Amino acid sequence: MSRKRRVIIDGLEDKQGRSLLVISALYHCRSELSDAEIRFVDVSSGEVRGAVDLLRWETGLDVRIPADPSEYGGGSIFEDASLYAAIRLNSLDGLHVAEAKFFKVPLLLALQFLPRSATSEQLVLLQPAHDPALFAQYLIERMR
Amino acid sequence: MTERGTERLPTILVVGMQNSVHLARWINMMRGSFARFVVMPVYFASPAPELNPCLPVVSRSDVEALGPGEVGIFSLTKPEAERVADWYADRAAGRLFPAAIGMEPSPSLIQTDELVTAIRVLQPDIVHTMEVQLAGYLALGAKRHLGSAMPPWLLSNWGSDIYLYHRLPEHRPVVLELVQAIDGYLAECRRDVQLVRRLGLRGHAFDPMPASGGVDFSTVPAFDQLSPPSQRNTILVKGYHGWSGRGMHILSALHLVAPALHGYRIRVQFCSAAMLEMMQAMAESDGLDIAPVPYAPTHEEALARIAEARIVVGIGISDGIGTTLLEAMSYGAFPIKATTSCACEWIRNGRDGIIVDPHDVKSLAEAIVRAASDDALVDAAAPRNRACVEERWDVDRNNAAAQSIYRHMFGDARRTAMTAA
Repeated sequence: MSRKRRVIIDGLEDKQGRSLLVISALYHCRSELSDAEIRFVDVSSGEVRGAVDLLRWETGLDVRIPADPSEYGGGSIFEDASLYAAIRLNSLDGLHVAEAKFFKVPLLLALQFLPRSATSEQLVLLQPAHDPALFAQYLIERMR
Repeated sequence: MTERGTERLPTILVVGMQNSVHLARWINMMRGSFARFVVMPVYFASPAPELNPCLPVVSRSDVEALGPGEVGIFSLTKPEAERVADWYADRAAGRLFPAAIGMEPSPSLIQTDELVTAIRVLQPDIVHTMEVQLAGYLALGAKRHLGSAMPPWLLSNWGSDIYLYHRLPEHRPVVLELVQAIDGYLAECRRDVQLVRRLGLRGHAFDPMPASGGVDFSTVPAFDQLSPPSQRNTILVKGYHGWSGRGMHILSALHLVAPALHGYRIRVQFCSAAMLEMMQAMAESDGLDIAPVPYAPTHEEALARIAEARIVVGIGISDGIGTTLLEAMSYGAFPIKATTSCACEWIRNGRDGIIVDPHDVKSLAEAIVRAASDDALVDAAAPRNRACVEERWDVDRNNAAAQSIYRHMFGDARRTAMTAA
């Protein structure tokens, strides 16, 4: 039996985090993600918890917020993951980039507004950082 | 019921947020000689000023002493220490109802035994809960306790109370129990009437009506006194972003089409700190005239803002009608709403307003550009929308409909009393 692909989503919703926008993107790629397990990390707000519950109800996706890391054998949720995705306002600070890179997880990290030293990747993702349908396209492409 | 000369005035115990303008507007629509209204608070807060004249009541005789048009507010007397102890005991025993999204369970919420006491002391003819997750759940706890001694129970469904929460696993069993426990159901949307029937409603479903009741249109400026929407240059944004609202999505939509919006004043209501930071970034990056507006201290000032707006945008993952939609329709502002509201029961999409998927920011952006650039569209929509709300949101019409609903419920009360006798 093949293991489900795991997508890890940044669950922060605050001045920097745009988790609710990523949740909107997941509505646009529900059919492509039907064989994936989607896990939110760093969720601190009831609003994101409610939106995740609603996403699961409305789409049937395997999406949830892990209760604790022990369900991954005490290891990292990033191990063997297929993608780590986030939208942030203008800074990647606080994201688990080093851990994701350690486990060679593909990244999709979009900023809505560019910092002083922007990368070409950040330039490309400027519009998807505001447009959930476009972000969903990138999400599917990065998982291939 | 009470003898008052030859008059028998029934008592309606309204359970709800006593500081809510919607609750106050409903009671103001109904108060008078028809029935006595007593408000049972669901938490500690000052009553909305619009509820005046109102008086504290602690007994049946206090209720009977209320003058015509006076509203009673049930005085809560449970000692704080007892309230806190009971709350922790309920929490430890798993007896607390799940909290609404974004709310923390708290001992400051009114507890089941307090409503049970109010019902026993005041002996209302009916209990009318306005809103579900606080008032409805509280009354469900009382009904579990009182059983057949619970007076007939009318539930008003505000906005997304059931449409959203029946899909959340923690709330679904409670919503199902509640839907099957109520005797009468009053929704804002036809959508929700169909929904609660599917969920097992056994009581009567009344024709939907706005939660805010109705408006006296003689107090609203005549349509020809308002400037045509094509001559207005304000885009008014409902900035709620949280359990339902998606204010950030609206800001992203505005950002995507910023070049088409130069020359417009974008004003955002109900901004969080995160929204303010995003707007600051947009102002710097896009050159947009975008700014927050402070909370309007009076309803008249809030309405004046709508009367200045060409477009009113409000998007969320769940809503009822949305009073802002009705106010936009009243004052000639072109509404943009989400498919997750029941705006489609009031406006025709693409003609009287635009209704978009709340997860589709690009379509929202296109809708804003269309409404900002198509003068003929917004000018043609305005008189149609005004005529629609004058007919369906009229205070006299909805007062008569609500009295009919209450009379139906009083009939249930009489039947219950006869059965008990």
